[in-house]
Amino acid sequence: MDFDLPKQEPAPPSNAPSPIADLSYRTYEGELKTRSLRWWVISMAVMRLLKKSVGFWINAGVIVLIYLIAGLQLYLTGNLGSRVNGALGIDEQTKYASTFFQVSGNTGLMVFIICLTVGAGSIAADNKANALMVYLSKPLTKGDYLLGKWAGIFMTLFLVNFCPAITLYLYCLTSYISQGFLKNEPMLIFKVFGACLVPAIIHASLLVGCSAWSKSPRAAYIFYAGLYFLSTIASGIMFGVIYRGDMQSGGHILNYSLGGVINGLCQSIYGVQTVFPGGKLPMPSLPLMLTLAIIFVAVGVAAARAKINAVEVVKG
Amino acid sequence: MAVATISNLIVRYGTKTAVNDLSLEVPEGCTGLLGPNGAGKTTLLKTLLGFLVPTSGTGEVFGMNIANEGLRIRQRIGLMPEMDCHIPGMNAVTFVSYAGELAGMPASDALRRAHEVLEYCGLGEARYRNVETYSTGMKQRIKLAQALVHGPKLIFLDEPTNGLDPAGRDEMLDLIRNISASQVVNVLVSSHLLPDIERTCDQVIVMRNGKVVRQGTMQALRQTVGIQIEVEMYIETPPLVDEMARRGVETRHHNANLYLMMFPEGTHNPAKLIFEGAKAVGGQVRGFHAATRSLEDIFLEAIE
Repeated sequence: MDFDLPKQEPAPPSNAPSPIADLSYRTYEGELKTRSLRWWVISMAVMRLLKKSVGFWINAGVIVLIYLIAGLQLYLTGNLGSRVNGALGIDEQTKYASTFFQVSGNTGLMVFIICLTVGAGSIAADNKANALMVYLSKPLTKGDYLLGKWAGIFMTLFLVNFCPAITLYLYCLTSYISQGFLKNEPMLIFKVFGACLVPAIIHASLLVGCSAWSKSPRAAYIFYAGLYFLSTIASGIMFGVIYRGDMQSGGHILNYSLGGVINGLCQSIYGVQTVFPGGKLPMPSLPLMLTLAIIFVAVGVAAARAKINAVEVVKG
Repeated sequence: MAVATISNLIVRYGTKTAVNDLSLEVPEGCTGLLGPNGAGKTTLLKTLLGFLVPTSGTGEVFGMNIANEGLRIRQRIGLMPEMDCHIPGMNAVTFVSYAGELAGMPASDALRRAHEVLEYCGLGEARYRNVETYSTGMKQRIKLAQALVHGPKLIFLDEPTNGLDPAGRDEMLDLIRNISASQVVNVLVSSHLLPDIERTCDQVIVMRNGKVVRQGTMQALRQTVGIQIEVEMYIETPPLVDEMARRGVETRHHNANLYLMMFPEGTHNPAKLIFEGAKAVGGQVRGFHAATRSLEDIFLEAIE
């Protein structure tokens, strides 16, 4: 047998330069987009991070379920006939608007939880990880950064509400057009759109403010949840103490909270009066609700803008 | 050609003046920015990036005004900040390509470039790991990768070897040297670690109390004034200092058997003087060579 194996070249040392790979530094000379699109990159990143959030998908699923139940309710009442509906106290003229308003109230808590999931960490997590230096060392302003974060939260909240709402609207349009759906409520599509915008704008604005001033997502979460529930409790206590539970004269006090303003604005948009055992409650004051909402938005955005800086300057 | 020029720059934080009437030119290549803590190094970098508005004075980076063209400047600059920074919830590839998109790169280009830069920075194997799980050395590398992703023409490295072990530090310094050797990126390294600057930079700027106290190439700064010779004796020879002084040569005892002799300008044959002096005190010369100053000497002299 021939044991003379062919001679092999010794393996090159591990630190020898590779004959095929060029490991030297190469620069990038390709295209660079304009600055106007960069806030969009940030908002897409905010939304992309939600893909893995179980909490987000569970709450979004519950919202869809609530809209499904509303659709089922409309289907059942639609088959009962106008005489039975009248006996049940259902107003044919505002039946659909009432349903949408009712659903917006029922989904309010889920939207609030989603807003905490998306928004609490949006800027606070960046504060914790010093990510602001990464953002602001790139060619974008703090306005781009803030707009990107705000839009990421806003679009998530809006879409999570609007997608099932528009599906329900299309179901009503295709199923009840012969029963006067468009004739009775021709502006409903705009009302649905507006009612989905309201919580998204208010939550996104206030939450970017809370998040910017927090050193961790958890702190922002607790702070905003506290603000939301404490304002609700405070308005409830005021209602109990001042009006001794008289809904007719003091029901409007319940709108002087974060959730109350959102609910009051949605009610004004749908133009639906709340019914309680003693009768119908007066509509909340639209100018007042609108003023409070504008204050919330302005305060939230201004607070965030004041806090977002590449360099923390301690004057003295 | 200078990549950055600054004239009479004053930057104040409230009543505290961080940069005081500073004028300098940052040349092409790799430049070290040295200075003790609080010298104004980081403030200078942040002013060049357009983060801080100067109280007075002017500055330009690649011919763009630092007071009102911050965005255009940042398009051509990469910053590796001093402190740990990353974007939470992202792996290395996503993070670096996102940084590229923020700088205006199309998504596909940013992704391709992220892979390339991570490979270059030695994170190729760990590119799909979440950045939060990275070691200190890896976090330093990813900061460098995100600074390089958009192909900047100038990078600011703020304390690039902070928290690194000796091996990691060596690798980082090699990487910096390699980047500046490519001649497509200018590097400005801010550090208070003299060996780091000595190993990576061609030029040095030494700052103290917000002012430049020394600036020049390493070679020029190391040169000594007049004729200075380091002499090695066989054993420690204390009388040599006085003997040489009698011959008009100032002599300092460095350590053990080493002496630094400073000859007056125009001395014809210093070697002869050394041998004569040694013979007179019964000493034996083992060797001598022209003295150079270390960066530490330059630095200490500058900040005194």
